[in-house]
Amino acid sequence: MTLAYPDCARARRGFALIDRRHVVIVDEIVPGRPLANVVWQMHMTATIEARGESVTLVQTAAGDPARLFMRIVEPEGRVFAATAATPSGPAGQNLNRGIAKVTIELGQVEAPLRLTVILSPDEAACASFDLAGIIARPVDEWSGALRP
Amino acid sequence: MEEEGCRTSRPSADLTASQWIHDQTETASAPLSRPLQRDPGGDAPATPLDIARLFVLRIQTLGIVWFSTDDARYRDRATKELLAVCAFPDWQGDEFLVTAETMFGAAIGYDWFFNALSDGERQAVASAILTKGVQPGLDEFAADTSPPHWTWPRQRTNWNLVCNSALMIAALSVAETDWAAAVQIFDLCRRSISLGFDQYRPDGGWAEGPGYWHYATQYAVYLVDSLKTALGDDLGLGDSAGFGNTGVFRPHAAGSSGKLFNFGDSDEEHSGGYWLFWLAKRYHHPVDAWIEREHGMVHPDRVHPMDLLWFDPDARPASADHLTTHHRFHGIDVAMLRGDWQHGATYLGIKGGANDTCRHAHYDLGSFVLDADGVRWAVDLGPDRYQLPNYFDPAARAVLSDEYARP
Repeated sequence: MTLAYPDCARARRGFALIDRRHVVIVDEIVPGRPLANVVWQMHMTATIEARGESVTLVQTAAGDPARLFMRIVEPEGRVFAATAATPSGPAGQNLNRGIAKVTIELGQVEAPLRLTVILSPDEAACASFDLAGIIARPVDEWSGALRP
Repeated sequence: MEEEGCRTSRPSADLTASQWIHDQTETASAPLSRPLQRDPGGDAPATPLDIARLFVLRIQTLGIVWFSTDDARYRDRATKELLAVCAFPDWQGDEFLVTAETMFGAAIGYDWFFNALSDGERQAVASAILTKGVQPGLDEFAADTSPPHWTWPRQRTNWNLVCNSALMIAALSVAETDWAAAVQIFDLCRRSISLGFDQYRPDGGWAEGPGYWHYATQYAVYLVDSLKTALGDDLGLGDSAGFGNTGVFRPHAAGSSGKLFNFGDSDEEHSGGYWLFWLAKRYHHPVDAWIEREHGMVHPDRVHPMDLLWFDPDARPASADHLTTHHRFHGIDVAMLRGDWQHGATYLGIKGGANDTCRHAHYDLGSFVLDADGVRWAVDLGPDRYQLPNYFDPAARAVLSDEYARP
């Protein structure tokens, strides 16, 4: 993603689908100069049940509540937050009612940083996931059918 | 598009198709108070594009029910619709798509109902196609002379395929009436449309997202099929790099929640695509037929008459068609991963490549959608109002990228 972030010397995002069910997203950010604030975000229509380094998203539209569990695997000490997805720009845009953003504020980033998030419908798997094997290595060293 | 295809391979032996024929006949039999009006009025004003599309749909519905039933009432009603639209003062709207789609409806109507028209009626229809469709098309090419504001003849967009295809089909329909005009527009379009087909390179992905893939591919298929039936030769367009593989874009772009990976200016909702039957048959890709058949069974109200013309009973689900559970479209750098092909499986749609790569692209590099347990968890905001200031101006969008990011 370096192309889209001119203040970064390098920006990579890796996606892994683990055991056909759990998703791990790894961001590697190498600043080209100090970055004032870096925010990870994901748009959603769900509500959030808990906050902290782990979070539970809930949707009840189709009968029984469905849940997705998310956890920040690294770095330590970061937490999820939820904010509105209301656009700030020109009038007349879609106000994105019913949509929110789940975010992770990384603040100022001056040194290379790696952010890893797991997302899974399985609470136990989300809680117990440890970085290991290929995913623990730099994204450029991942192997797989879809590696660029 | 030749009605003989429908007559010789009527799909009525297939139970699904039999039901669809019944439903289409009911639709075609609904009392219509009068043929389409240019300005129908009423409480829900229709746009010129709405009217153009309703016209095409009426021609196709009445025509295919007539082919299926041999009941001349449907044919006669179709000719009334055709003559009414040909009597409109012009086929213009706020964009050339109105002209293109109206012209397409008139061209297939002229072809399908030719034997039912009197000499005077034939003259009226051909004259309308030439003056209200082909001539404005020539004017579009003549006006497209100044970079950087190239219009659809030089753009690599869905418009290119829709407008060129409609004009080429129109040219085929009136070639015997005005050979010179038909050849002139046909040659211009033939050169221009290679830009549109190039967008399928190298592996069938579509940069404008699955919504515009539908629109562009619908007209690309109309054209390739029409060339084949009218000339016996599709001029190599059907062999354009990536086009033969583009059917695979549709199943991979569909998340396991039942929603599309709606990057670009696309909506989440699945729409059916009768051309999927055509792609399935032409390129031996039965999963495409399965998708359209399933869509029609879940949404019988959305079955289109062309589903019957191109119906392919040889439908096989993705899980049985050896489709991989992961796929990367290199041309647009979009990847999809899924646990398996069952509803509820975990599904990831990933947007790589670059930002703002085409007219309907967004500032969405690295964005993703995520489905699990039948629910869409990570959403793409999809399109906003096209009337917003500078929505389609790349230079302005670069400045406004925070506002119009829409990942």
